[in-house]
Amino acid sequence: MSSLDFLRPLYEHSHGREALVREMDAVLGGQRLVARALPFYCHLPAADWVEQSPLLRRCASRIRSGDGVHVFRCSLPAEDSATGLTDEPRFFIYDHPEYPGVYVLLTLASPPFFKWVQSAVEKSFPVAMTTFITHRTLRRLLQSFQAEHGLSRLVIRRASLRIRYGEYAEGRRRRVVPLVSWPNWELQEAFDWVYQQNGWFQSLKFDACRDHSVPATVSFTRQGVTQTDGLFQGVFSGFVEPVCKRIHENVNLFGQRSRRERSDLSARPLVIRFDADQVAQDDERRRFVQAMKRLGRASVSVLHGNPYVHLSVLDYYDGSAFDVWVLSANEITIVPQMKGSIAATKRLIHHIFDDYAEGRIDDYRGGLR
Amino acid sequence: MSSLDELRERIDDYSDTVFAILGFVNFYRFNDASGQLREEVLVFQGRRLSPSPAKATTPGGNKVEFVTPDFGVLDPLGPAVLGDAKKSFPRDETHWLDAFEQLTAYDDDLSGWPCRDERVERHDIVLLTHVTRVVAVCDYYQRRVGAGEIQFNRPFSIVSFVRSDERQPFFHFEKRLGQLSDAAFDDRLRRGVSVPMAVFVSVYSTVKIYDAEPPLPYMAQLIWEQVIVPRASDSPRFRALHRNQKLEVKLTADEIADELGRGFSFQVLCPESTERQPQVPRRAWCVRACDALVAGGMARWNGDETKNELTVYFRKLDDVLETMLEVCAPADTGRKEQLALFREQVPSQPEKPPSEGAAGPTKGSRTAGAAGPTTET
Repeated sequence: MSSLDFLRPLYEHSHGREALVREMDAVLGGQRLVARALPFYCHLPAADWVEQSPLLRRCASRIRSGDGVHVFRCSLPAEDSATGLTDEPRFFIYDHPEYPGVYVLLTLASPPFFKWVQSAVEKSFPVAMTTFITHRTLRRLLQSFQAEHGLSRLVIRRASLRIRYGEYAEGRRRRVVPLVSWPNWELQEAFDWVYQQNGWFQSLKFDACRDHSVPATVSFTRQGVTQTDGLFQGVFSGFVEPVCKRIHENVNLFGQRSRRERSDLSARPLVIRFDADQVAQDDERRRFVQAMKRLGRASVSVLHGNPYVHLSVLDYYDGSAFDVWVLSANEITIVPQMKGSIAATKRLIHHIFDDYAEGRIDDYRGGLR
Repeated sequence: MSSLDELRERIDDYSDTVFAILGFVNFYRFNDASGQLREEVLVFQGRRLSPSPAKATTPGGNKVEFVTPDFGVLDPLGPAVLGDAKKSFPRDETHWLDAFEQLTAYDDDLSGWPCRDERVERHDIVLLTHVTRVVAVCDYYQRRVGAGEIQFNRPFSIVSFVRSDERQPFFHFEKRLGQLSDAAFDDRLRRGVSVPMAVFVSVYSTVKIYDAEPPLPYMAQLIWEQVIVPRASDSPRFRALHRNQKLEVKLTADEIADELGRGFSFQVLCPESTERQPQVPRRAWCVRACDALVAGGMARWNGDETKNELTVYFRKLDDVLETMLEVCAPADTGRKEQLALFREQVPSQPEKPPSEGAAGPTKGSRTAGAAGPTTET
């Protein structure tokens, strides 16, 4: 019952955004609890999204809203008593003060409940969507987190990897291969190894070490899902906030790309730019086409495959359409057609980053309308 | 080469012709010094221009109402340009004269230009053709000029184009014969100008059709992706639709032609809508593509014989183009046989444009690169 005493004020008292993060941090310090955060974008107000969510609308009820924080209680599923929460699990939705439409779902409830509520966000796609964090950004976030909190080491406890096959084999569908390992590596070693394998981390669980103590064990996924048993304020500012910023930037970058939104029906392409001449060789271009053909819930037609690449892509979530071109050695150009929604653009680029290679996304400049 | 490979090649040829026209007309739109587009330069495609009284009747006594060049450029500061783009010429040179007769029809004080008084003081005439045929075409032209069969009073040039599949693909244009009025531009083009395809990626993605009928599968793909899918996606059933499920989508041939014209033809670059600017794609092309969908069991015509309203059985296809190639191959073969039969019956007669929607060959039904005449009589 002692844990309930700690948590009750957290759920029942009204607090603003900063106070919520601070109080969750304080609760973690005294209890064996894990705080979980899922940043996402939704063009609906948070309460409306919960009411319209196919999973949440039947069982989630709002307890309170105010100061940018909404508190919800769920009647399903049954809670795991090991967390100390014997009654109905609850979650917060943190309405980001700077980035419109960007929310963070926060909870101290058990892993099964978090997975369930996470699936509610995922199943709301394209109304709600998460983001993706590139390998390069993940590394930068980890390094900043270590430096800002005076941590001596970050030791990887568990890593879920995806390895992109580097070779193209005619007639054989080569996929991204998932691997799970517990290498006890330090950060530098792990990132170097994954880079050499042409892969990326789907998730990382690491001990944040300060000399001989471990003030927190933190998990972070490519979708920006963050979990920690300590240092919550630091984790929030070091991981959750940058993910919110990335979501906001991507929404701005991917938004208003539909040709039908402009009176002259002109196109507003996006470019994925690579540091090296990633798509210079014929076999690389073939590998790119093969990777694109694996995009799920889509039609991918090859109008031209070699030496330049011209694909026509249809998204079967919302009917968005894109022309995808490879016309230079280090760029992939994406041209949204009459409809090119934020969600479909994000899904297409996420797929290219996952299945082919990561680059930097930029507005297409130059060229002629 | 299989029929599907041949269709793919024709789609590639069609796209290359569109890209070549876009590349060429943009020489006039682009200001090299500022790196910006000159908004005052108008480009147009398939516009109906009226002949002067002197050329309003053919030597055979037929009335010529319009000529419709493949492309036109109206530059308020320089000479205007009219021209045709022909990626290939038939093996049989006897049909080549038709192409030049069409071009000589532009050598006239034409009216109907997209400007206030509908006339220009001077204009050049250009034939844009592929590098593989340009030497033979230039030789042919000079022989016929020597024989007095072809004569131009306005500046006439033959310009070759070729897509170069280097590491960074580009289109290369080079003047092979004649003279353009703009001396500086003439000199540049004489030396050859390469335009990286990356420069035109926006415009390549928006202009997909010109005033010649695209290969059937390409037309069907455009209709499916850009007209049918947006309508299907308005349905609440769209998102959850399984691959083996169908969703009925109703639309008309007029709507298809209108939506593709507004979004994917040269209308994007020159949105003026007048009687002189015929609809591209033609309704008849859309009907033919829809006929192929009907024959393939993917749609049905509703009601009477007018072939206007259509019900499409929308499905989530893995690869729309591949499906359309398979669905349209039989219809395309039948159409080619029909055209061949027509040519055998009327060996030296130019393709006449019957009324819209008829099955016979028209200017609109000219396939990319064919050397059919483009005068509408």
